[in-house]
Amino acid sequence: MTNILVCDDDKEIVEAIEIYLVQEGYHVVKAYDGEQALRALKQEDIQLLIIDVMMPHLDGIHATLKIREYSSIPIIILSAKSEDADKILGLNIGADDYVTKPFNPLELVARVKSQLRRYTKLGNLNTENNAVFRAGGLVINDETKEVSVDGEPVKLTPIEYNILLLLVKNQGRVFSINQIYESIWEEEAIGADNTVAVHIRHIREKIEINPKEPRYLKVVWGVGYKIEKQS
Amino acid sequence: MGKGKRRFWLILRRVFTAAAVAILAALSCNSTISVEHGGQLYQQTVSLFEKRGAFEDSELFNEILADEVQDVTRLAVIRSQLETDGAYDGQREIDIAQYAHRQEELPDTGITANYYLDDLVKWGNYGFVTEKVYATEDELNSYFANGTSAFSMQNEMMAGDWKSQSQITRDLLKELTQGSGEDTLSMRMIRELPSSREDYKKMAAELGKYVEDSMIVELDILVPRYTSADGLDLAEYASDMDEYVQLREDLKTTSRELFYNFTEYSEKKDAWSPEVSNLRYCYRMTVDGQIRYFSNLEGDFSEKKLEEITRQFENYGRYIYYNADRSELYTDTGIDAEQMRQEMGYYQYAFGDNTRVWMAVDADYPANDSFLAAREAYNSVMPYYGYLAAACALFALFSLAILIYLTRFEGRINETKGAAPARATGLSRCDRILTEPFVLLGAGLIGLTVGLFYLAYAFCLGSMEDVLHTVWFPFAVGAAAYVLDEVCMFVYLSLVRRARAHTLWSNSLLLLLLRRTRRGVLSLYDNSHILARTLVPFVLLLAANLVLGGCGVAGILAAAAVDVAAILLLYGSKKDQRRIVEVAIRIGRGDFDRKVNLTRLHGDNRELAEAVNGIGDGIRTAVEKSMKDERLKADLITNVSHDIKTPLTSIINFVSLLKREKIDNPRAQGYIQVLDAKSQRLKQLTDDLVEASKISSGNISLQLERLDFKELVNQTCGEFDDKFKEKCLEMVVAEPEGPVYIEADSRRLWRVVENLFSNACKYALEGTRVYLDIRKVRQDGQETAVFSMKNISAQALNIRAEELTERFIRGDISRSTEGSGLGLSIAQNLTQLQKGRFEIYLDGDLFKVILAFPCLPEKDG
Repeated sequence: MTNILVCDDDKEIVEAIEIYLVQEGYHVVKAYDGEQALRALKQEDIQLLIIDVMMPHLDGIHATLKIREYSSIPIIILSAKSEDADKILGLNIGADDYVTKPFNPLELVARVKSQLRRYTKLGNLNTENNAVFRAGGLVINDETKEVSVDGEPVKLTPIEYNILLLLVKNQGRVFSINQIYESIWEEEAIGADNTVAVHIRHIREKIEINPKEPRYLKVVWGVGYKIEKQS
Repeated sequence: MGKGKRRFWLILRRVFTAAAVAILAALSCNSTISVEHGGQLYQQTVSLFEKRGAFEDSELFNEILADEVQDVTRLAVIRSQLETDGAYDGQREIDIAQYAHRQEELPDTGITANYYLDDLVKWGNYGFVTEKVYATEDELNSYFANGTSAFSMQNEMMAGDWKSQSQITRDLLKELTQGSGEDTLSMRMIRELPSSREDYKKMAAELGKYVEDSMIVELDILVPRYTSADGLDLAEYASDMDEYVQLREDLKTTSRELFYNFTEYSEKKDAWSPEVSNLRYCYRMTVDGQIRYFSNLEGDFSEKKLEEITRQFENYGRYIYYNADRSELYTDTGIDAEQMRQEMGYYQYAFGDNTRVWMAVDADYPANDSFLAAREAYNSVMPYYGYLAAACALFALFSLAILIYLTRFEGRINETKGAAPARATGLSRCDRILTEPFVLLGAGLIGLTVGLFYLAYAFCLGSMEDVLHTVWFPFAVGAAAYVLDEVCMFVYLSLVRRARAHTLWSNSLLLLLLRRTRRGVLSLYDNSHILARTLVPFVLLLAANLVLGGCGVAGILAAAAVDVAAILLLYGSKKDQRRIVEVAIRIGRGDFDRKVNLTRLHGDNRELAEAVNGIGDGIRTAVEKSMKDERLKADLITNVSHDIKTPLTSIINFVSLLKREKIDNPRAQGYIQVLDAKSQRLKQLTDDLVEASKISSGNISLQLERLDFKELVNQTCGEFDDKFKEKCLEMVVAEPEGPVYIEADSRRLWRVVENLFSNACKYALEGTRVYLDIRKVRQDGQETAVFSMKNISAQALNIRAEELTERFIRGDISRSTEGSGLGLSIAQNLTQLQKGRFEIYLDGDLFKVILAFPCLPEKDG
């Protein structure tokens, strides 16, 4: 049984999240401010924390900081603050993910699943193989031509697979549309063609939870595409 | 610097100054070295800058030496006349004609007689005895020619009867006659010839001869005791009367002059003996056709070579070697050849060919002579003189150094405490007096002090002689300097303090007067009527020109000066105006902080400047207020949107849950659909609202970087490919070869392009084409990347293009569709923030939007 602690001062939000998580087979522990959350964490065996930022008594940022002093469980911050600065602050102080309100409940569930998979499966990784490439939760096995994200297998077309392989093999490097075209199709790119861009979008839709805010396959606008180098 | 310390330095300086002045006075009043030796007085004036050289290089030495040269030369000449082989020779024969005429041509008679030197000197001492005889010239000549005359034959018997010879002559004649018994011509003449004119006439009358009075001549005959070296009477040498007279005079002259020389010789012949003189000399002269040496040194020089002698003299110390033949002088003294030539020139007769002169001063000074005395005097004064001069300079230097030190710190207070600023100045009461009166007062004080001292000096001069050489005079001068320095320093230090406090000029009478005048004129000008302001200066200028122009050249020059001043004033006023105008222009361009500097502005210009400053202030306040309002509005919207988002989250979540419930009622399902759509739209609306308000208040930071605009458009095309296909829209893309680099914030630019694409997605007529076009265009000399997007609107666009980008304004078509209506507004504002151009053109149903950014040069990296 996986215990998830949901903490928000708006009880309806906690309730709605509980409904979704319970449907997915998780057990939900509820808290309505930061102090309650800290207490619940000590009393119960919690595997994941969803926490709001703006709360009475102790806000989500300070609570996260305190939790990180003794625990490394996945923390997803849920906040109405959608500025870049807010997201950067949240991720920097130790949160694993940042979801802005109002959110798509299904996306939140997907992110919860992703975090849990990574957290629980991080310990028993397959023995390293030269043909296996990783970028965080994204794993490509070039022998079996299989791709999985956080353990979930993903189905890609051959061209999509080749593009993703190229980018994962060269993590952090930015490829322009022309460079990708030339290395996949092995012929010179002629004229305007948005084939590559369309393929990239399809790949993102398959491997990302929210294609508009990709974790792996990032768009560097005006330059090209890259797989973010995961720490 | 503390007060006590300052006082100490002041007094120390004053003492140094007084000391320096006192020494200077002492030096300048006692700058003569006097030596009196052997009846000679030698003096040397020592200048302040006298080199402290050896005595032998001093003026004094050379002066004495010149004297000695003169004296020794004379002695050498005398010696050449009186000596033979280094000793007085009384038996020496002197040719009287040659001697008497040594300085001139010999008389052409060619007769002469030789006498012994002793005789000549003796006679010179006692004088000559003569006897007057009277006869006609013929008779006398007959005596000299024949030893007798007609006269003598006849009156032999009657001798002694009529002759009235003097008793002395008679005795002498008797003595001579008895002595030698020889009858000399002189004796005969004296005996036979009458001794007066009357006697001669009587005698002639007795002989029956008549003689005219004018025929009778008088002749002085030397009594016959003066015999020559040959033992002859002088008369024997003469063949007529004239020759006798000449010989007689030559003998007298020679005798007299030799006696003088003998006197001088006996006085001075030992004056240069090595025991009493430090001078060594040697004259090489030709005497009677033979080369002779005259020296005060032992030894026979005639044996030595000239070079040897020269070397000997060089070894004594200071030497002179003069070659008279060639007027060449070799010396290490201050004597020059011209001097030497002149000295020798007086005795040209003595220094014939082959004359050489050696002289030397024995630098050991074994004898006590004027050289030694002078040397002692010189050395007793000179070193101290130098030391005193050095001390004087040193004191003066100290004094100056302290003056500089005092000047540096004068007027600075609490320098050491650090808290006070270093330039703080302490002004005393006397420093507040206006500068010019103070300077006058100071000058008066100094003048008064100097005057008092001068009076005292004049009084002393009246009551005693030679004030300058008294012992106390330098001290008195020093004391006077001390007092004068006090006064001078008082004035000087006050001026220094003023200069340090910058009150030298600001506290001057001239400035005060200038300011008063200026203020008066300006206030008159500012307060007068505009007509007076314009007319009065003009009329004044005109009048000045007319009046001065009629006063000649000086007047015209003055008028020109007045005109130039007027032009300068006008120029200044115009310049001020220009200044104001420039500020006004800058304010107009948006530089609201700009202000006109009001100082030195007057009259209309000042009012104008104040007005311009007022306008600037007004605009700035207004702008600041509107900026603040905008920021407040943005903050308000952000805060409200946070509050909206929390309930909205619940709505969305529960609508989403409702959708998953199995509801059979189709109407209820329809309601849920509406709820879902509207809640999504509300979400979009709050996000856009926050973003739009932030952008329009400028509350975002841009991260500008180099990027390829074409790549970005291509990427966006890829992102929207599916959506366009859903709506059956066809993308028609036209691109240039190669990348199109611009500088922009990539995420913001993507937001702009995304907005445009999603706009097209929402509002374009289904099944039409969307034209995308990227070009590089040269505009205003700069390459510009231009992106345009054209599509056909599904609904009629019955509004103006500008309204599309205004907030919450959309075409009517979109009222019922999704979107906040803020998309174009956000796109426009973001573009402009990135220094881009954003334009929308509407033509019927054609919707065209243009983005333009300046291109970056094409290069890799």
